[in-house]
Amino acid sequence: MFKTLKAAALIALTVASPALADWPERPISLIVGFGPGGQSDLLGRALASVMAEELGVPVNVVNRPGAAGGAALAGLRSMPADGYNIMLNPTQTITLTPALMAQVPFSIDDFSFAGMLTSFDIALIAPTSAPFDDYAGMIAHTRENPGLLFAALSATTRIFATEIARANDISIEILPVDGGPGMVNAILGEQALLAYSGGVHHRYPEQMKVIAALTTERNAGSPDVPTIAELGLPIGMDMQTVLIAPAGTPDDVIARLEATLATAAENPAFREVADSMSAVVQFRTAAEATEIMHKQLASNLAIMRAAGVQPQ
Amino acid sequence: MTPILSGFSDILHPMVLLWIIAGVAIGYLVGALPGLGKATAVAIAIPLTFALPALPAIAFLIGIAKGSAAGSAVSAILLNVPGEPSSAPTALDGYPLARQGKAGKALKAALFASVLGDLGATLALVVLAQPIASYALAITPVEICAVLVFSLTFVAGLSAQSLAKGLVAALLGLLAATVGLEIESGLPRLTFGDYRLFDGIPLIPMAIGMLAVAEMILQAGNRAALDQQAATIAKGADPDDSRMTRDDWGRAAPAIARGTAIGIGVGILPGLGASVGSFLSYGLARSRSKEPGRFGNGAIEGVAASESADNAVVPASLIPLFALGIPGSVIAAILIGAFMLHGVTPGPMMFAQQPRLVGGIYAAMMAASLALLLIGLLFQRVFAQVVRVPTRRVVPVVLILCVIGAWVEGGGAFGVQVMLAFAVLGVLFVKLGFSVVNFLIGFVVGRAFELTLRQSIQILERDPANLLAHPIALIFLAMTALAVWRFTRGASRKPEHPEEI
Repeated sequence: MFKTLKAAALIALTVASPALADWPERPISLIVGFGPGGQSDLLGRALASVMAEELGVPVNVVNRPGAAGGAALAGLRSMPADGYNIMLNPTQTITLTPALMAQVPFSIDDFSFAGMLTSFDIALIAPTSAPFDDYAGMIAHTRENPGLLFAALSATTRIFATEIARANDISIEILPVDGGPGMVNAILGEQALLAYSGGVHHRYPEQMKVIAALTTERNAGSPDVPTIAELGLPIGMDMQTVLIAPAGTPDDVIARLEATLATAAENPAFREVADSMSAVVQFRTAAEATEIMHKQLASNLAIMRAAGVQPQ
Repeated sequence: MTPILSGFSDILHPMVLLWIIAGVAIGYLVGALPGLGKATAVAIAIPLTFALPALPAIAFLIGIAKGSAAGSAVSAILLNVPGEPSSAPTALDGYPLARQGKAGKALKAALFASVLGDLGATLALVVLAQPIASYALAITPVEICAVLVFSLTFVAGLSAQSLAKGLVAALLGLLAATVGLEIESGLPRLTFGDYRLFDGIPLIPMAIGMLAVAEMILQAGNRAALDQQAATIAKGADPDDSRMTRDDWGRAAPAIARGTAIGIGVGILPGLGASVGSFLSYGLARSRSKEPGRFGNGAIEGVAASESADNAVVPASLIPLFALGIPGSVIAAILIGAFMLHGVTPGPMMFAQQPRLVGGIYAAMMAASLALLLIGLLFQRVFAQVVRVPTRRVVPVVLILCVIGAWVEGGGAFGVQVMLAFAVLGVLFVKLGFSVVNFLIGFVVGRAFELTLRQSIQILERDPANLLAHPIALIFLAMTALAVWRFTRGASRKPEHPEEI
């Protein structure tokens, strides 16, 4: 039944839009730079099913894990810019990696951006049982009890702890953890009293509280909590999911992809998937996305340089 | 308790039963094919469940996970290609059994061990999930690190030929596990500037290369022996060769019991995964055995130990998920997404808010164990026909499957390169008498060991005296010291017969 409907939709689409009939003519590969099951993968699969309906060709999700999306981006840049190879990825792989690594096998100029779909509620969080409720309280507590443990998912997330510690002249120790689930363990087990969260804390409203937003604007999920810049430390770094194509992809193809993203952002099935992982659906056009990407890169580079981080 | 019981009757709905069976059947097939892992299968299946109510959807996904954990033994035994890394130890004794014409026996042993391990861990989940909640939070990285240190002593028991060579192999495995981005600073280690190594060496291409491809290289050119072997395999005249005899059960039962216990333990501890469970179970079975020489040459208890632990990890990793909302494994992390999609938040509140659904899931998981037995017996009859094909014709097909598996799981051509590199290493290991299993144990345990060690140092505030606050860790460290003392004493006393240790 569903198949018949799909086939009917397919025919209707191809008949209805003869002017754009040249693309897409064959299946599209939607590359996901992470393994199956994670947030990027599930969002990618939900987007792929909307795209397949909209564009009338199969959209296959291809998992290319490695280096937080970097391995897949390095491959994407040398693929033909014909709209048949596209990738959904968090922005920071492009906008932050150059600040950390001297040799990055891709750059922002290797890609065209077709639009943004979701944004991450990145925040500084603490277990509900922590003896402080806000940023000032956390600083005061750490001044009294030096060596507060901060669960860091990566070298980048460490920067927030070291910068906060340096600006306030307090001592924060790093507890390395393995990804989002590792962070959840450390917070629920109260081994760490502070952590970087990419948004997963929305799933644990009873057990975790938000101390500060680590983005440039307040988190959509916790609008009452100030950003780190409002608290006097302008080190907020944004992250969205962006649809990426190799540079030189034709404008009309980018326009079709952009329109598909806009449809996906309104699609109930997609929203349900996004909601279930606390991803905030926030559509941005191709032009907006391109501008945000360049601004984000410049801002991140400046923050990292000011923090004394040298690309290695 | 009543709502939980009424949940039990919910699975009797024909549609729910159908989805359970479909999940187990799909999982078993996916597991039997090298290259598609259970995590991938479950992730791909999630969108299929969008339209389903919560119970059949979750039962379907858990069925896939259980089915593929058991199915991966099939290709490990028949083709020497583990369908999943966690079935690599199954191949060590399962494939020799198949070559001796006992494929039917090995397949049955693997299936029964899988079903029993699975059922045991499911019962543990039902009984333990709620009471264990308060204890589980007492398990910090310090305790996990101590357990991992202890588990590394099993390596000594696996070093039948030479303790020194066994340790070298394990240390090389630990070294291989350090490849990739360093966990604290994010600096690349031993990657030689290749970004594809940033996430470390992919396990599946490595295991396929060292076990399957290396074996085929070693056999290549020996056509006469291959053909003779094929004749033996196809014959299987003795009906005892294709069933579990009383003697086999006597050997396998203790291995299954220990394997299930290890699987449950590994499943509860976060971040270890099924591979750690099956390798440790195999290692323990071998180091406990009175005849360690049998291992690697077709020991039925080796197959049973590996598969029981492999399957027990799946339900056990749901214990911290249900009790605390903590994902204990990749499967559990993926299932969180599926649970949330269907309006269920995993965690202690689930028992209060949706007891009927919890009961349904428990019952569905037990039904899935039974479905596993039936589907396994049914599919094995078909798969076992593979042994009738002459080995000479099987080898090229297997090589293609190996390449596909390495390609899919290792990120394209890079995976195949990794597979070939480790095939060469595997051949060298075998020729020089180093243990491939020890290498793989070192590798599988290595990453978790390094992470928990660094975490422990931070949690203990760099002061060993703070260990006194972690009695469980102290017990495991004491056991480690005892094991090391026993092995070194035995090794110095009887250097010619280390297997008698």
